[in-house]
Amino acid sequence: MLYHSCTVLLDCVQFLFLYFAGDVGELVCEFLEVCIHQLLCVRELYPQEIFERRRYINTPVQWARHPDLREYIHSAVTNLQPWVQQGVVDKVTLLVMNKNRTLEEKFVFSFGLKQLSTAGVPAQHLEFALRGFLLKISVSDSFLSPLPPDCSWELVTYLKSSSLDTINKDQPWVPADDEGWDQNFIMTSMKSMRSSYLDMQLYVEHSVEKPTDE
Amino acid sequence: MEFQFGWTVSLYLLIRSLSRGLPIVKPEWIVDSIAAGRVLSWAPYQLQRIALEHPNQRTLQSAYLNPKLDHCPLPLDWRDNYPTYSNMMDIDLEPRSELLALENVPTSDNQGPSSVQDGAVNFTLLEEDLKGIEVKADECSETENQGVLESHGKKDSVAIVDRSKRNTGAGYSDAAAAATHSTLGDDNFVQNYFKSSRLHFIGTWRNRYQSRYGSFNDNSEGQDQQVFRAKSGSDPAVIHIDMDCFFVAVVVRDRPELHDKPVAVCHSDSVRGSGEISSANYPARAFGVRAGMFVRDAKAKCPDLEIVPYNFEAYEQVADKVYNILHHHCGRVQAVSCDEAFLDVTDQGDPCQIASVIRSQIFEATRCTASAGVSKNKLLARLATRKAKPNGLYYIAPSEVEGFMDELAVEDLPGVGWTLKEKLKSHNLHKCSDLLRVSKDFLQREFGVKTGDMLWSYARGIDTREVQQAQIRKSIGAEVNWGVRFLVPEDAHRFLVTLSTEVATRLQTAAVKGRTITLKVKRRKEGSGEPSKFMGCGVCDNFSRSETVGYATDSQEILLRVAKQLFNSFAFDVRDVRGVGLQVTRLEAVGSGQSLKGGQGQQRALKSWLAPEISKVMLDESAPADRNSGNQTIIHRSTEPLKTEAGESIPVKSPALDVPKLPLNTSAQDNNDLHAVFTAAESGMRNFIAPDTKDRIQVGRSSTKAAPPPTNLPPLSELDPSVLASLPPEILAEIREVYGELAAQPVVSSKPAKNYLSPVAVMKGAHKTKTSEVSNRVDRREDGIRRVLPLEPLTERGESSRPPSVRPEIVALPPASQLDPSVMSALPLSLRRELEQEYKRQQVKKPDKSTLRVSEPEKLCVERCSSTSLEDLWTGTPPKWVHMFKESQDAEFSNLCVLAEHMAGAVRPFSVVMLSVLPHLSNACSATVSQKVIQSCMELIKQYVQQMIACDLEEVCMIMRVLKRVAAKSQLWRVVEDLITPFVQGIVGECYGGHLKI
Repeated sequence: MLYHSCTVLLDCVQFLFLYFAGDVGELVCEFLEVCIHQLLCVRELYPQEIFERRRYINTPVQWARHPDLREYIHSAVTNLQPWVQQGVVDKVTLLVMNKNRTLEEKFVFSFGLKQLSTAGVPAQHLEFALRGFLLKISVSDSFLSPLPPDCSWELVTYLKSSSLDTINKDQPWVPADDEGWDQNFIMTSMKSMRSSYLDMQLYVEHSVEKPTDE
Repeated sequence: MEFQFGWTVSLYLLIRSLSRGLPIVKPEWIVDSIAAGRVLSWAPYQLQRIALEHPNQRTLQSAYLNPKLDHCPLPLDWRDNYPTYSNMMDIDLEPRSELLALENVPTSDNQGPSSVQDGAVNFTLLEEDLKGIEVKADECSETENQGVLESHGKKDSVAIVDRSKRNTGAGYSDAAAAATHSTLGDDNFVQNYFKSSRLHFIGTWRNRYQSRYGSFNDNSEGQDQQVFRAKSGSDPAVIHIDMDCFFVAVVVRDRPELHDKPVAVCHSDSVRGSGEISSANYPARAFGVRAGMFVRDAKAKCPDLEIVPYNFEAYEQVADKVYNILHHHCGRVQAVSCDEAFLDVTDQGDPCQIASVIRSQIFEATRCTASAGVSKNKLLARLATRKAKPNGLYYIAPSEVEGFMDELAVEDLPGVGWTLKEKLKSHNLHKCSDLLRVSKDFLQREFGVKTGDMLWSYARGIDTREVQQAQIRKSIGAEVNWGVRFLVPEDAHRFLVTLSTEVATRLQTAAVKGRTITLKVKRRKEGSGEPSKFMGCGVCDNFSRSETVGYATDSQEILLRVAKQLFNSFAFDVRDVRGVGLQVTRLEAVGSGQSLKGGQGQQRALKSWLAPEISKVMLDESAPADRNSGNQTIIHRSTEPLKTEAGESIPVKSPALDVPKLPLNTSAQDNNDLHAVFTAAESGMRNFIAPDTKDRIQVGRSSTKAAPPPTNLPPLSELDPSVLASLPPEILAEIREVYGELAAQPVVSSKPAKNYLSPVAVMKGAHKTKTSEVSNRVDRREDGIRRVLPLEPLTERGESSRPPSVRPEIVALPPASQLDPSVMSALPLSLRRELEQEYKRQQVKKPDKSTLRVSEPEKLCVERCSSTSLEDLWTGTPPKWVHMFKESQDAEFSNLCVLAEHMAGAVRPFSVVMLSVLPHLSNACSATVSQKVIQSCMELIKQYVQQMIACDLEEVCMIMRVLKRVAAKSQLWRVVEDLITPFVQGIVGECYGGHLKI
């Protein structure tokens, strides 16, 4: 039984309006979509059979074949795009929960968006850097413990601003409950990227390993 | 539902503070509750109502308390003679015994005011009210205490439970009691736990003893002793003195009616009889009553058994007296416990005579009997004592040893417990004579090398252990296994704060620092419910983890950080945690240790010397007789900048803090006084400086340019000009002499003291509280990190380095020179910003600092490296530190130059650069490491991490990994890693809320 939902967590931090060029936003969203597919595959949230191999920025990636799943991810991410372009997105997270609905892992894409001096084509630059993320994701099972069976996942986005005027009414994203996720977790950094267009980090938060490991 | 109460009921009348907010109820509540068959509300039974109903209650209380005050200094003096009645009145301690004592007050003791008698009667009545009522008191909670008491070998254990507190939980709903009696809801739990605990006495007894007979650092004496032993040809003679059933005897001596009756000591004499007996006297032992028995079992064996409670105050006094006598007779005393000791009386005459004199003196002084065993070594002496008991003396002459040992059963040998005995039995070894038949090889093969060796030699009456003077403590810690309940992780963290504070205090009190920090956690065993014992730990799994830090520490912050880190690493559900202990091992006495800590002991001494004086100043600022104390205070603050390398724990307060406080309450007319104080300070100051000065002039002249060797004088760069400016001219002259020309610049103009003090007057009281807190935080330093005093702008006009007197908000801040950047960086961002802004504002008003630098670039180079420029190391391209390291003439930095060179043109991240020069780094600095280099490296990485933390977690992770690799090979980097890891985890926690996996 898989659970999907689109939720937005409105995080009243501080309003940071950043002008973000359209094509970078587009690229980021596209990239996020690929990453999500890739994560779902690597973390074995779905059977391997539903994925197919594809190529994205010259890197092999796994892409789900199920149309509903594709649609879900695609719509979630593309609807995020206006916010990404406005620079209000702080983090996009993929939560993995076990069957008791307690958090197992949390993949965090955190964005530090920069003011873009030129609306030029950052694609080549960025693509090169983004490839690192995809590769890191594909090997992430090596430093993460296997997930228990029957996990579900959802996407939660943290915005820097809660100003509702930025939210389109016919948006599928809905406000999320703030889940009490205690501070006692371990972070594993997967990849960080700094470029003139944006800083992006991917890290995993997972609960502390069981003491029996020692 | 369990009700807790017992013989301490009378206590509630007296000590409100002990009830700690718990309602004090009348005993009728219990009766009525039983009658009603349910727990009635306690409200109508609250004791305050009694007070209202019987207004005389209060007068009674005060009448009772007053005589106590008159006598209270008594127990502090160990030379005092017999306890007076005030000891019995010492309500804080042993309510029951007082009560009994009062009940049985012999007429001769009746010196107290009659009101006391009234009180006693009154309480007795109260107690009688309760006697008929069957109450399930909870005694199991005290079994731990007994464990402590019984096992003499574990005297260092501090798992101590405060009884009085527990008993105040009487007749109160469990939940509420749990809230008040656990780590929940009581912020001062740990403090109270240890402070008010009398059983703590056992744990701290050795401390007392050591401080009294001052042998913590007395290794030299021990060596003398061995030399002496080697020379002397005469037979060794050892006396073993053991008090006869100490815990009972001390209590019984004041109760003659119990003298020949079977008596046992137990924390409670409840109907249920589930308390454990901790000690029984000989009549009781004859019935088969043994320590560790449940009271009910003991009573089954001996129905007349009288149970008495502990009287720790008396134990303490008796133990002190006993040791006083022992030390009087013999210089080499090994204290085994509070009632047992070895004396080495070789070459002091007939040991039997000495022993009998000691015994009679002990009896005279304490009215308790002691047994003594005399022989040629510790083993035999101890065995002899066993034979001597009770109240006897037994001497095993060297010629009798063989016969004596032959008769001995194996289990009588110290170190042979039940398991070993059974093992020996299985080999058909029952007596020591049997042991003589077998070879040492056999014993070692069967029982292990050590045990085998022990058995072999013990069976022959051989014991090579020396009578040691007080042993050096191996660990200091605190453990709380009672009342530990957490609901959320924050509870646990709050608890760790208090626990680490407690441990830090203990370390500081014992004047030691430790390197290994161990956290022990008791976790509820899976499946076991709430323990039967009230607030106890129940069945637990024990876990412990430890971490070693680079430097011996006694700082609360480091302890806390490590403790938190360790605690989190367990990843327990905090609700299952039942006990937490924090222990510090690998202790070093403050003042010893590596060269890095030179001068530390001196500071410590200075600190302890000054601390009381300073507080005195704070307290009675109105007293005109402050001359002396003021003198010392000022010495203290003027010596502050003269501190040496170590930068270890700071003297009580920074000058920026205590100086403002001085005149704070001083009105203008007191200025004269202050002047007087200052002139007095000068002479003191001169005395203080003089020895160093001479040394320095003769030896140090030639080396003034290089970084000063670790003598008592700090490099010039560490002198705070603002402090210098406030020194009187004479002292300035001396300092100038010491530092030669170099000093000429910064101390060009000296200001009279009054001027320095003046700005403080503007400080407003309300403001003070806030800002002093800020500066407190700023001033607190992490252990082992040298405090960096950046070179202040050396201007011609000295006054610029003083805070201008018109801006109150700045005045309260310590001079920028006194700021430790590492502390700054550890502050929360908002606080740091605030401070930085303040300093910037100050900076603006100061003249440009660059002019002077240009004129003396070379001389200042070293200082610039070490101090000035440790801020903003990562600004510029290439980063500032690259130049700094390269330009540094300091040899110690040369190794780091490789790093700097690689960094210079690199566009690569620092971690990659570091990785590329990894071999160089690990080769470097293998020998002694100076604080300066450590500090620089620390700052380098710290600032880098700070810069990276928000945007590049990967790089932070990388740098830490690289650091780990270098640390494996190089001392310097190991130290840096140790210091930086808690910082990084802290900052990660701040930014992301988690714990970075490195």
